[in-house]
Amino acid sequence: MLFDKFQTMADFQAELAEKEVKPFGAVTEKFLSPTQGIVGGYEVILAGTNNYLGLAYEPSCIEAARKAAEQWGTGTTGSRLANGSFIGHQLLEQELADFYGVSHAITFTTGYSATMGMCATLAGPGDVILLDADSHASIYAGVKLSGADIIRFKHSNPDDLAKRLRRLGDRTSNTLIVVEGIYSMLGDVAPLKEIAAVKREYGGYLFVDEAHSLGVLGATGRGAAEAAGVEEDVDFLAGTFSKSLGSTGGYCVSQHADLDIIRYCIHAYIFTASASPSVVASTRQALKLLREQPELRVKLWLNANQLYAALKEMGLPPGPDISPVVAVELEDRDQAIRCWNALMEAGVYVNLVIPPASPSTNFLLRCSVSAAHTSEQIDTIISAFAKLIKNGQISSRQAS
Amino acid sequence: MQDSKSFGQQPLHSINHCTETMHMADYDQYLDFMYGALGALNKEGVELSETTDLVADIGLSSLEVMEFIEMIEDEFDISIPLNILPDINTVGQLAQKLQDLND
Repeated sequence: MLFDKFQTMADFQAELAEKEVKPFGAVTEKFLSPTQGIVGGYEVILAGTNNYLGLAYEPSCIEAARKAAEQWGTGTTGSRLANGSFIGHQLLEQELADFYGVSHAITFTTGYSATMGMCATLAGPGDVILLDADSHASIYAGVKLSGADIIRFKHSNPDDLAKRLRRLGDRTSNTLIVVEGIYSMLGDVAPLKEIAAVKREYGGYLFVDEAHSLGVLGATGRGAAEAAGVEEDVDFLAGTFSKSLGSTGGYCVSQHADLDIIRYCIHAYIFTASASPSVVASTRQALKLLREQPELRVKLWLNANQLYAALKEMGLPPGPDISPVVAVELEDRDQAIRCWNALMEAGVYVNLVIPPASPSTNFLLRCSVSAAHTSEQIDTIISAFAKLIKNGQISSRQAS
Repeated sequence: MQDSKSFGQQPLHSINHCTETMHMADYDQYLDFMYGALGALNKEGVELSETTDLVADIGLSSLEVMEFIEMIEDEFDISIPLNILPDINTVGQLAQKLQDLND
């Protein structure tokens, strides 16, 4: 039977329905403010939305989107290579290239298609892709399509990367190394300084996905590569508009002029409709704000530090690095579901993450903080976790 | 169904006899190493042969498969591309594939 392979998932969903919890695809029914809403019937602080700079509900971005919709309509009804390249798409690419100080940028309709499309196209049969074992699903999808030899290295382990590059010998000249800036589930930051040094020693091309680090890391918000001071070693830098810029879409920038030729070879770019004019307009406005308002980043980090420090203090082990992604790992699935439910009842929405979305066999209560959260709201999130401990739903452990 | 070439469980320390051949190990050397390496992962003590299925017979989880692959990679100082794994079920198929990759 075609559907047999979905039975395990069907059983799991039925079990959740029986428990009357809906952690996956919980419906947001209403926004009460940029950081509060009604989700699945609960009035909650939104602490799992990746809206890092709080720009998803920013009035000037909404206004830009409204004007663009009036002037350009609701959709482009075509591919970038056909009728779907409007002046806004071109300007957004120019502004991204300018932001990164490079000559070329490509934009995509979603972040998923940006990383998937670039990985699928940059390397081909006969080439090698060396990817971090904890890479995002879009990267795994892309490398599978590429036809290249796919080799994994241990997560954020420059020594293992070096070992595998050494084993490749001359083939490093045809090798694409794929890593991320901030890893989305535990919020850990890639050791890009060391990874770039390994690349310099052995060769290869370095691809960095800054989906969760754009607007979050770096002196000007360009991401983890900027923060590590290794932008010159990065051959391809990708990212998304759907986190810090509060819209949808993805991009890739490069110091290599050939990026403009690669554009004509990426199926995920060619065979899909381009981003809607309103999306492009709000993204451009959000990028402008990201550049003009570094204070958003300052506020984001204040909030991240507040939550991380408090969870650590109460003995809940968050991820290895302080970042706007703060995740509490639990070994027991049912406990994770109960805790998620209790947080909802306490007025806090976080993400419940289960394998294979989580990097290990553990379950995660994943928070993402925003520059738009007030310090009081972060306190409420902290209190909700404290209540889990007090009620014995989660045990206080010494953070590693 | 079991092939004549069967080995029982072996402790890991007894399997270092092919380190000196490094890159260009052949089918039998891969096989010998795998029998030893599987010792620690073969919790049910399934009798090992070329036709032993890593998942169906030994019951390796996906994480254990990766652990097993890493042991082989480090022993022979090679990287095994993920691409070959979907076609591999048995110990013998893996040894054959590794030998093919040398050519």
